[in-house]
Amino acid sequence: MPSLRERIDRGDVLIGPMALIGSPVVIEIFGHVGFDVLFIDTEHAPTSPYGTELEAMIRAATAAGIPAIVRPTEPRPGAILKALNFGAEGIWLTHIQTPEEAQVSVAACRYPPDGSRSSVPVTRAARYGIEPWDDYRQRVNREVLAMPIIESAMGIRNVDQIAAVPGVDMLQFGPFDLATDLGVPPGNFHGTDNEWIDPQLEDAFKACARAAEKHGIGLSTVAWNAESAERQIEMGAQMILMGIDLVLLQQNTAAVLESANVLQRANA
Amino acid sequence: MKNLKQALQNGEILTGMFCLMNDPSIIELMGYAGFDFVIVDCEEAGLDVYGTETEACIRACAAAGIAPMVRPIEARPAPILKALNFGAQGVFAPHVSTKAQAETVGRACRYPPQGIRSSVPIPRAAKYGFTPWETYREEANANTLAMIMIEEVPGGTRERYKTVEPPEEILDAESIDGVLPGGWDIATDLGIARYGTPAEETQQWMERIIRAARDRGLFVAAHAWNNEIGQKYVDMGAQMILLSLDITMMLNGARDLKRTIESIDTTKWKTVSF
Repeated sequence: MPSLRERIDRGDVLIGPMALIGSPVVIEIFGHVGFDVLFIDTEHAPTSPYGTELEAMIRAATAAGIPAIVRPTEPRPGAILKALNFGAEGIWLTHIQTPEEAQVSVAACRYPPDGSRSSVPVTRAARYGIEPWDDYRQRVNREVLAMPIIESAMGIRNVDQIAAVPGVDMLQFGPFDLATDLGVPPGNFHGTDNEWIDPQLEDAFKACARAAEKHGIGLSTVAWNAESAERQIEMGAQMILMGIDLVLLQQNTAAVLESANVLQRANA
Repeated sequence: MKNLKQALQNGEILTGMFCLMNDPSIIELMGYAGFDFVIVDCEEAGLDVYGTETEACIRACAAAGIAPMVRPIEARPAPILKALNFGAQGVFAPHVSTKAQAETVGRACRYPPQGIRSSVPIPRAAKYGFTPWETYREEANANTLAMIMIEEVPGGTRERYKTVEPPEEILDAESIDGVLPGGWDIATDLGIARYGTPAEETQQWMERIIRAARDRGLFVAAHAWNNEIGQKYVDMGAQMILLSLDITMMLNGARDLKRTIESIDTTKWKTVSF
């Protein structure tokens, strides 16, 4: 299986869902259905970024052949280390607002001399040492995707400087938090209007796209339907989060429940 | 949360499903959606009926107001005890193929003198003792649903390995409340398992089991592949209708998403400048 880095470098557009439920079963289902990428959340989800439950989820991703990007609760070196040691191929760094913040958390994604990641040769990611330490160190430093999430007005103001920080591999556009921060509706996130996104959010997205282009790094985003995905792909997004396990389950539950209600009403 | 046994006695039609995904969040989601009950599956799925993970799923049912049932790994008193102590309203005991086994299941669901359930006054089901023991014991004995699954039939292949009595004989057991015919396993037993509408012979066995149960005044649960079959089971007297599975719904959701993603045109990457 080629790494996410290899697929990004050869120009593939990668789209996949996010797991909030914390269940290895869900992750295996996503893998078997065959998405390009999986985002595992430990910021809003109940899963801890520090423990064996996250490891079990990443193991499930391996078992079902889907590469995982993890969002730690905070972009702290300890949490980033855990996710990478478990085998995450990329890290979403939450709420990055300044180049200084980016520098610290991006550094935690790579071993010295490129960064400050703590070292041990027997991680799951290095197959417990079966991959020789030097090979693993060099490979992971080359392949890891450090992705600051730009999700505040301040982050947008500083996006050019953040994109310039060495070691930032992709910018991640975070429209939901950004909309909250800007006090605008999150576009057609809920399908409530005809705009694909609020104009202020569109400007913010374009600022991220320009910064990524200028500094020769990637751009990742969030889409809530095929149209919004296409708009953002045309403007340079190469990775897209689309679909959330809880929402997918909820939508399909509604259909089964309707069927249950029909049966109950018919026999009341 | 519904008292399932009372609802059944009142003639209600109840809907629910087996949950195989081992996850309290998913159980809560089913509760918020509005199903009457879930069957926390500890037979085919990864959950351990003997441990705290099953307790966590049953606790999630309480949190979301959905009635918990459990399918234990085996039709034996110990796993049934665990499920009931955690707070399950009853069990669906798998692979019951003799009347004696059925009696054991029913008795394992009641404290003496009606049964053999092991006693302690502080299970989660008795609010750790906040419900006085006498009250809890009486309520538990009255309300617990001892459901058996009949999943082998005379003439099937499993008869080579175990005793398989005719359903009418099994359902003569006096201690049980009802039955869930295991259509998939019966079909496997007969060598004719398939997705969708069951084969005619499977269907005949299902209906024979349902009729036998109704003749004896027992409650019936049945898994319906669609509403047409569901209605047929209701017409025959089934009151607990099982629809879909959490895994199936998740898989369908993921497949829908996959189709949407495949419809996205990625060939125009970076073609718009601004």
